[in-house]
Amino acid sequence: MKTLFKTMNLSRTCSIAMLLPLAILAGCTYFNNIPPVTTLENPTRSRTLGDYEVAGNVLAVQVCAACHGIDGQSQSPMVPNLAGQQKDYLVNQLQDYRDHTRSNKYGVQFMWGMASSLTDKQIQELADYFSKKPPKQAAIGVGDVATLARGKEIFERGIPAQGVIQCNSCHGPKGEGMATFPRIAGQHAYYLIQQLNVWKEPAQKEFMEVGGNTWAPRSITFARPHGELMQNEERNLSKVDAEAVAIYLSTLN
Amino acid sequence: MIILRNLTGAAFGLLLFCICLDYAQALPLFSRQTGQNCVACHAGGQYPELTPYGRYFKLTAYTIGERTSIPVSVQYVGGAATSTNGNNGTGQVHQSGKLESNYLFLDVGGKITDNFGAFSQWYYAFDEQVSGKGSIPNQNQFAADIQDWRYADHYVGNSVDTIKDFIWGASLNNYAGATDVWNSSPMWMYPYMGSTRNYSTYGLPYNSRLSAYSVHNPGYGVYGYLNRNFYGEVNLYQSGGSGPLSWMTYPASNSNPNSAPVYLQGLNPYFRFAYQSDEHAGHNWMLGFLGANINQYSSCNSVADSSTYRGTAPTCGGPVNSPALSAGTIKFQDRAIDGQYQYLVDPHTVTAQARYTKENISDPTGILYSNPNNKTNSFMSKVSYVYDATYGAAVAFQNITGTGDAHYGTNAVTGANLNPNSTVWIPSIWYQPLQNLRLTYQYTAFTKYNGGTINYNGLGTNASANNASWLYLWLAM
Repeated sequence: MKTLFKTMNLSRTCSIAMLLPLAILAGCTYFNNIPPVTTLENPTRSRTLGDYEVAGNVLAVQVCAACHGIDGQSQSPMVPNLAGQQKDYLVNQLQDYRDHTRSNKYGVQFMWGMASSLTDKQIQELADYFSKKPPKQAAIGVGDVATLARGKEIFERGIPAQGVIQCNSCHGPKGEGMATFPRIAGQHAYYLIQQLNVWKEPAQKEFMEVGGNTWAPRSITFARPHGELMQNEERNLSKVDAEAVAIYLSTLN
Repeated sequence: MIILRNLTGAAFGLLLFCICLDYAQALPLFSRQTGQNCVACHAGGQYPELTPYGRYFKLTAYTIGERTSIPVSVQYVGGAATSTNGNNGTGQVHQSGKLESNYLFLDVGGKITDNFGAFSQWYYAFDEQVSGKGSIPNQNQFAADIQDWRYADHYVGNSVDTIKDFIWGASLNNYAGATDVWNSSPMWMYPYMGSTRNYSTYGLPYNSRLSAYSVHNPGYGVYGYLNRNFYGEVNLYQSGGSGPLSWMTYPASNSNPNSAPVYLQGLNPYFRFAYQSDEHAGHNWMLGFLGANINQYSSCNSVADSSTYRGTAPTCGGPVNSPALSAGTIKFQDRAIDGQYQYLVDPHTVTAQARYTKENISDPTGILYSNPNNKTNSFMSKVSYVYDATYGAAVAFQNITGTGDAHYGTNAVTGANLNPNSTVWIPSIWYQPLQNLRLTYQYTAFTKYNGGTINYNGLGTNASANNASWLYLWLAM
């Protein structure tokens, strides 16, 4: 009798030993093959990416707003204000993030993942949502008089001797932007400086700048395909001038 | 038992195999889910410390992003620990700086549905030192680590409304403070990792009941976060016992007294309220108030099943790990204020956390303490700086004072009760060549231990004899 029990125990152990790995393998296979199904039990408040059924304005407040603010007014100087941004510009940038062609540092770290599965329709809706929000009140009390004066001069007249064209020729008389040219008025100075530096070192090896796609170190060429018009301006602007114009722009309404 | 152990090993191996099938996805679960870099959620990349966005991600129940095809990731911690003075009456087993594995973590969960997600961590500890039991050989152990299963919803109003933004939810978790998002409450505060061989690497030898890993029991609670400024939560913890939630305290009939179950009487509340500032020019701060009332039964939790020990197990009068329901309870009342400061503007990350806890301990039947009433005051803090999410340095200061009691030991010469008064500094530096790989050197320096700096226990042991250094690698994938 005892032997029988022992045998039963042994066979049970053996079957568990065989079934458990099978179950795990089956589980892995199952999870590997879950289609991109909709899980929208809460479609008006979903934070699901990769589901075409989630409306752009839902993503805007449930996902984007975490950093960019519900009204497109961000709190961190690293994160651009989107309120009142030009719609065409937003569409272009979201597409570039989705295609992994806009590859400035924070774009890779933060935006590649967020944008990677957006549909064209969602991109249109997101751009629509943020472009219609009233722009953020400009910064006040930043920069000294000389810096602001220098920034204003570059914004309005450029630096002809260095081949820097005045900003307002494309970005509008008040920096409000125009179609694919972004609004730069009232933007965070820190963000503007970062963007002005993108072309300074176009090829940079940054191990940390890998998005959620692979952990292997690789070099990323910093680029902004829709910003190539800015190449000369950015390369020819000195550090001090770039800061001056960025601070000035942050004070524009 | 051996078969079970082999099976566990096989299961682990298979999981690893499944993960390796998709090598390109060998990033931590949340990173795969959002497609974002670790620095999006972790301040300067110093996981587990959270950024404002990381807080949002956790409070909205880990639901941002795409559900991953393999909801699993692993972490490995290993390194070399040294102790200054061997086992000179300190209770710490001497470490000579040998390279050893410490932990293998298994993380599952992430986004499950629109509103439901989980952080579910399990660990396998290699050769874990049995705390305060220098005579018992180190043990391997698989156990339920931090569990946080959440449901959350996020309402967004108009900018002119009083309620512009409201996140609310519910959590099923297994440690008081597991729900924390500021790294200033017990479970998630610095030092984020300690060696399984030398508990000095974790800091203070005694702490309030409301401290890391102290209340390993299932709890459920609700929370709300209004306009990203006002936070409140209440959780109730109760004994896992052998009920449906006992998996959260696994292993309940364990082989290692370090995580022997704490038997709680009834429902034990943990609460937290906090004010989080808006961000200005990269600065943000939080000020909060938290506490817990914990009623704990006596249990024979210093002894384990001798068959799982590789050495001799100590003896104990009653059944292993059973609560003594008739012996009364120890009542811990903890009240704390805490705060955090962060400056997050690349390439600079400056963060600081602090918590001050007042604790009243009532043990009328003398279960753990010789006095019917005891008090402790403890202060925990940390400041860190990270450059370019790659090079980091931190220093922690921890201090505890309290009434003398036989619980803290007695002087070998005078027989007088010792007190918990201890002070420790924990500096560390780290290098993070990849976002999911960190090499840290951490030193623990005691300036006071059990109320003294020199010969605190009558055996000639100095506070500094408990010092420890630890060089370790932390890989997450």
